[in-house]
Formats: sequence, structure tokens, C-alpha cells
Amino acid sequence: MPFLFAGCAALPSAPTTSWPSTLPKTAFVRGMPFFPQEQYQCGPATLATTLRFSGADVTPDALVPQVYTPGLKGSLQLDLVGAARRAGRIPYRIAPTLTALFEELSAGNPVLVLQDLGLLTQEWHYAVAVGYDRDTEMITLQSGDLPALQMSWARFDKTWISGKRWGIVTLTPDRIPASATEEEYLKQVAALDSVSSGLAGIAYQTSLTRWPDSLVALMGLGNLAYAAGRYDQAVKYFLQASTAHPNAGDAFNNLAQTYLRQGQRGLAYTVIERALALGGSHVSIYRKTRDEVEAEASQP
Amino acid sequence: MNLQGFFKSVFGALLCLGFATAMPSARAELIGTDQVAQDAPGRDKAVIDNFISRAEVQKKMQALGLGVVITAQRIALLNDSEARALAEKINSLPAGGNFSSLTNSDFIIILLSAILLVLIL
Repeated sequence: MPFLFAGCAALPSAPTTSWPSTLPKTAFVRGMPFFPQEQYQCGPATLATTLRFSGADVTPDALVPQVYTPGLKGSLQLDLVGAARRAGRIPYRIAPTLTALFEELSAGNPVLVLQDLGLLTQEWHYAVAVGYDRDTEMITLQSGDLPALQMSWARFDKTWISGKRWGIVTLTPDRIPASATEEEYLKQVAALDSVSSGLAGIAYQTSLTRWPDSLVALMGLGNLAYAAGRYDQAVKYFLQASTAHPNAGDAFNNLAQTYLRQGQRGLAYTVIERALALGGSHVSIYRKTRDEVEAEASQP
Repeated sequence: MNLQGFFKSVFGALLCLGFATAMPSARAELIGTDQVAQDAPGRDKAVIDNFISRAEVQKKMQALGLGVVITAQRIALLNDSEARALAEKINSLPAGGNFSSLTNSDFIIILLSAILLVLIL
């Protein structure tokens, strides 16, 4: 169906030419809650749907003050993302392709999508994708007050592309989205870290099951251990990070700081010299660490 | 404490959350996990901070029906790259970011498109 995606060569969206062998021909997420939306409230309603499906105790009404902007008569994507974090979920933006969307649905993860339903003017709308079928080339959405709106892939993609094919899944920290990449997923976990470090800790551990050498996950766990005063454990994670990523100056910097806390000045000095030799965008922080090591060493 | 002062203290406190892991004490210089994930310094939040704490911006947010505390709470949930994208958007606005010459409706549109565009990237 080349007519569908004319002009969008840079964003190949549909898996029509090469259907991934692991992708089932059809999928439908069962057991979805459904909140028929009130006027202008598609943001709270759809977010409540995916959050409730993930086990969070939320209602659309409770989400209104968190996401709805009265002057806009709508909800910003930014606020949906923030509210998902506040609920302890990880808002992961899927790759802008139907393939990624279908991967999530086949893994049982509903996807909150942004559509432009306007004909002449823009009319933004959030819906929740819950199923697809390859034979009929139809997608199933919870949309407005319809619990199972059927839409062709072609029509859906036309409404989806205006918002750059924006879609998120909101999973608990012990589950990784089926289509997730290490880099993008760990960015989201790190963002959750400043909202709830405990939940981020779970997500870092979960990440290591899929990406055992993940620099961000190892650094995250090291930093959490350090903040809790568990320096032996922090050393273990920073060592693991610096071994797996010998060019990551950040790992050496944080290792040096932890050694310093343990009173291991000699080790701290060796390690921070390594960070300084590597350089990078945080080199000014490495210099401060070395200054601290030297200040400690000069004390009686 | 007046509203603006209250906003500033709430917003400042919330902003600091992002740097909590980076600076567990006055002495230590640990690289925060968010900084590792973004591979960038987190300084752009200062631009957002300045932008949001301007009285005229706060007035506009209130015109949208958003209280200052709610706005601060929402913004505090952003990560650095989201904040940076917003900062870049703000920096690229016309007239060198001189918003005073714009009418109210212009201003609201620019502010909103900046915020909207953050995640449509």
C-alpha cells in the first residue's frame, strides 16, 4: 500500500513489506478498563485507562488537575508523561512506526496515541490502541465514548502522523516495553529517579535483565547505593560500570568519590586520574573530584 | 509570603529534586544518573526556571486556568532533555526572547507551542 505512506519515506511506519517473523498476525489486549470521556477530557480518560490497566489506582477525575489545562480545553503530552511518572509508571514513547505499535499490542501493552482528527483545522485527540489485525488491516481503539472503534491502518496513520506518530506505554518498573531500546528506556527510568528513586531502583534492576551491561542502569544503582550510604555496594556497581565501559569517565568519577568516602584516597586518586584522561562533557566535575581527593590527602 | 514567593520556593524545591543524586552533600561531586542518561549537563533547567518564574509568564499560566503550584508540580516532573528541548525552543523564539513587545495572545500562543513542541520531537 504505497499510497498510504507517500512522502513519509524517512519514517517507514507500516510493516507491510516485511512483516517481522515474531509479530503475530493479530493481537487484542484483554481486560482493559474503559472510561468514556467527558467533553475535552480525552487526556485524563485515556491516561487513566492505561494507568489503571497497569494496576495503578487512578480515575479520570483524579487526573484532571494533573493533566488538563482549562485554557487549552485539552491536555498536553508533557503533562500526561509527568502524571504517569507521578503514578509510578514509566512513560515510554514508542518508535513512530506501526510496527512498534503492534509489537506493544502483541505484548499486551495498550498504547496511548495522539491523533489529529480534524479535516481542515487541527483537532487533537487522545485514544488508546488495543488491537490490530493483519488480514483486515484494521486497528482497534478505545476512543471517546467508543470502547472498540475499528479504523483502517491507512486512516489511522493519516491521523497519527500529524503528531509525529506520538504514542506511549505506561508500564510498571518491573516490566520493559516490548519495543524499547536501551538508550530511550533508561532515559525514562532516570527521569523517574527524581520522582521516585525506589521505583527507579526496581527499573534499573529490571533493565539489567535485558541489558546486563547498561551503563545508565549500573550508574543508577551505584548512585542510589551511594545516596543511601551503602558504599561497598556503590563501589561494586561503579566498578562493574567502569569495567564494561572503560571509556565512561562518569563511572570513574563516581567510583573515585565513593573510594573517597571509604577513606581509600590512593584508589580514589588513581581512578580520578583515569576519568581526567578520558575527558568528556563532565570533565569540570572530574577536576573538582580530583581537588577534593588532593584536599583530603593534604589533611593530617 | 506572596504567591510569587511561594511559587519560587515550591518551584525551586522541586527543581532541586533533579539534582539530588548529583549532589548528595555539599562536598561530593557525583555525576547524576539523569546526566549520564542524557550525556549532558543539566544546566538548562535554569533557563526554564528563569522563564517560568517571570511574573508575566505566571500571569499567563494563570490565564490558562493553571495555578502556580500546579504548574510547578507539572514542570518538576520533566527530565533534563524535556526541559532542554523547551529551553532550546524558548531560545529560538523571535526578538531574542523579548516577550514584552508581544501582545498577550501572541505570548500565550508562543508559550503553548513551546510546551507542546517539547514532546512532539
